[in-house]
Amino acid sequence: MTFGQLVRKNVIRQKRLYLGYVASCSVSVMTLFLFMNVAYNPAVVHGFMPSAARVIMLASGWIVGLFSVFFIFYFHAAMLRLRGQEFGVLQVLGTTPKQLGRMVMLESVLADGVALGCGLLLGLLFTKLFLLILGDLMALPSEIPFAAPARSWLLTCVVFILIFAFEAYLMASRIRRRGPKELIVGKRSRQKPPRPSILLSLLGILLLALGYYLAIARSIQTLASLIGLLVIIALVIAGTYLVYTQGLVWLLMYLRRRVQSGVSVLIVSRLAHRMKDHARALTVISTLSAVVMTASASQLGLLSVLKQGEAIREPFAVMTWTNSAHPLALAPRQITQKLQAAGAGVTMQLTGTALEGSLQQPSAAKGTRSVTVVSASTFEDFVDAIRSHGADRGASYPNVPHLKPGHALYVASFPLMTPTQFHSTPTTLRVGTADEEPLVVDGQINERTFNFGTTAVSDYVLIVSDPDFHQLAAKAPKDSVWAVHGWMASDRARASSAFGTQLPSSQVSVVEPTDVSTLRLFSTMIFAGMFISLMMLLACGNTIYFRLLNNQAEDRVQFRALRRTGITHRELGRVLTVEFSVLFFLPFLLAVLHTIAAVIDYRHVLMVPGRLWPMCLAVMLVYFGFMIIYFVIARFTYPRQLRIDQPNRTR
Amino acid sequence: MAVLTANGLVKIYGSEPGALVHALNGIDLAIELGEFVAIMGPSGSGKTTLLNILAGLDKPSGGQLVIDGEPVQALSGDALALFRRRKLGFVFQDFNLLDTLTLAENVALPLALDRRPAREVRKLVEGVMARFGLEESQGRYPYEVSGGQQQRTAVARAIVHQPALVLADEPTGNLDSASARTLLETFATLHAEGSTTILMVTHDPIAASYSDRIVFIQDGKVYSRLEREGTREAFFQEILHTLSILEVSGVDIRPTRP
Repeated sequence: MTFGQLVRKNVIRQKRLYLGYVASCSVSVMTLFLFMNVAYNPAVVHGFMPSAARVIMLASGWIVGLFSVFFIFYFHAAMLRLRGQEFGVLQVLGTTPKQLGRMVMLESVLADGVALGCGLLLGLLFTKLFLLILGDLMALPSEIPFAAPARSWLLTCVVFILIFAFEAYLMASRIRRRGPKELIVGKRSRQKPPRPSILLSLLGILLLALGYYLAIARSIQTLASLIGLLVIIALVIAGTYLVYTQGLVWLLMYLRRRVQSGVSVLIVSRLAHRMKDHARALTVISTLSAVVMTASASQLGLLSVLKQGEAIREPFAVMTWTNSAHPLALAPRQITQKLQAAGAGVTMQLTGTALEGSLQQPSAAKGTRSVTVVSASTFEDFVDAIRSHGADRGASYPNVPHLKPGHALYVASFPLMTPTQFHSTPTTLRVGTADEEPLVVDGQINERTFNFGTTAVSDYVLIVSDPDFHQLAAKAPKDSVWAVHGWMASDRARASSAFGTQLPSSQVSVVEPTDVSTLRLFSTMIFAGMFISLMMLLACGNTIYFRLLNNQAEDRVQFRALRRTGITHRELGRVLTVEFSVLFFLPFLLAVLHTIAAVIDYRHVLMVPGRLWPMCLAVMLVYFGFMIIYFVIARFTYPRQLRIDQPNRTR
Repeated sequence: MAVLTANGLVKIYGSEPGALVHALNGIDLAIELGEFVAIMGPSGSGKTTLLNILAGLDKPSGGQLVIDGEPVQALSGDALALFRRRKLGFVFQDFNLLDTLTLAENVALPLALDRRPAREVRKLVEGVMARFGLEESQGRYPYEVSGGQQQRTAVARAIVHQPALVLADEPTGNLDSASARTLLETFATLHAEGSTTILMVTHDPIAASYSDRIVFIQDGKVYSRLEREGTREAFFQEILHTLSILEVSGVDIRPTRP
């Protein structure tokens, strides 16, 4: 047996230990390679899909790279710590520090090489799938051709070889510096009983509370700068760590004095002694979980909110604005025919007249605001149409109160956010080049009646009484009078494809259903996010896995001793179930709290109505499902690995 | 010819003048080629510290240590590792075999580290394992065999490269009495063949009775020496007698590690 053989055997026979590490590395190599393959795909580079999608791919790739550095170091260090005894024995037997360093280096090269190879292979396999799904999601006219450009190979390899080489070198020199005595004796040294500080426990809770407070109550102010965001993150991470190291240990020590019976004593004391060792891993898992859940919930939630808002932002399938100076190529009758021909199913067509005006703002906000002036009856016609077509929407539209001559109502069309400025406020209105007319604005409505964005005049609407409107219209210059036409259609997707580029978007709003238009924007991000989430999920699992391996030798001795003193398998099972639940679900619980705070914060920033929580709950449930799978696997394989009833094994 | 010569070994832990711990207070020790020496002492007497220093795992604060003609404290880094590899064999209380290697591979470890040719390694390993009755278990892993077999494997690993000195730290501490007896007989045989010099730290009078000579340590100093003259049984009685005197003089020499 030669030294090289020894190294090879060591890696191959420690495959259980290396498996998690290599799997995590492979997935990160795969993810980066995948993103690079898409970003540098010649078809994508030459504008096959929106350039924003390409930027998202590149950014996601770099996030993966950055994150990989962090967890590759963390996992490899954890793995080597587990093998302290082995390295100690080797040194006692006369392995020189140089040889030991070289051994670790060789092992890393072997493991990292396998990870790189597997990752590239997996990346290649998934690239095709990725491109297919992406093309489908973004409703691209044809398939994106498969490519694995040299540039993405090069970038992926260079990035990971750099990470791996640096990591292997660092680990090797770290092991080289440690003496055999620490390595062997280290595991024998007794753990000190935990001494939690009540002050630090409270500080932990305080930090968490402060982080949550800044996120929830002072959301906009805090998030105005990047520093605010970083402060919140730092507060929450520090708070989480203190809650684990101090608060939880304090609670366990308190329970230890109370609980006197059965296996509970064992559970509580074991947890109390180990919590300090667990704390770092638990903090990492909580943070990662919170990041994954928040990111998924906010992305998917935004999509769902936008979908919910679709009918609100675009009440009409098609809407046109025309006047003498801005005629359309198609007359309203022709538009109806085209829609019918496309099978859109026109259910209603409305026509109204509007004036282009400018309203003097109340003195607080100086200047004038351009407004679309309509008569009360026209406004009511449009509202009635919306009410009769959107069952759930209709109820929220307020009735327009009867307007006396010289009085008006101001409409800030959703999603414009304007504080209510008018409470029976006297002001003036000018239509076109005509004189200013005095009038009183009674109040404000925050609903939308005309389609978003394309309103030729302004998204702010002023409702005046019918007689007043006729007077204003009579005085108005011709090019300030607009005809507005709205069509309701039963099939919006078909309605959106009825006209090519015949109609200018400045005057015409043809609504594309959110499924198509928004998905195009978000699908790339969501899909890339899914891969990153998967990677982080794997990293979480790995962190717990190393934590468990760390205790295995100690558990073996303890459980064997307990078996001898007459503990049953069921009781040992209970000990493990409780301990594993703490490891798996406690960080999840804290992560849920973090996520809730983050989503509330997000809700404030988003400023668009719609429900975020169902999606958030769904994301949490899916994540919880993954945690349960991890838990079940770990809980049922662990006792087997301990080999409690094989008395031969002593270590 | 002396294999090991120690003069006035001192070990002080700690750096603050008020909180210094004197683990060794000037130990003199000489071991001749082929001797089998046991070191006994109560817990905290400095046995383990002494063994760590003799093995080059720890540096003495003062005194001289020469093993097989080499001044150990002058060595460091790679030279120290090479010294351990060629001159020393080590048997631990908890065996410390590597779980990832078979018994034969564990035994081959010191030779593999020294880059001996594969054929020679195989011959030496097979020879030494046959001698210890382990030929059947060569391909098995440590966790598949009994504690006694593991410890015999550890002894095989400690002598396969024919070191100048074998250091054993409570080698019977984790064994049942039958396995302990087999192991001690292995030591006795090695000793009788005259080739191996053994230094064993133990608290067990039975284990100590297999040796030629016992050095009793207390408070980091050599307290008493005992040399075997007659049969093992007679030597055992003498050890018990010495221990009872030590106990009367207020020294607790009960087992330190279970």
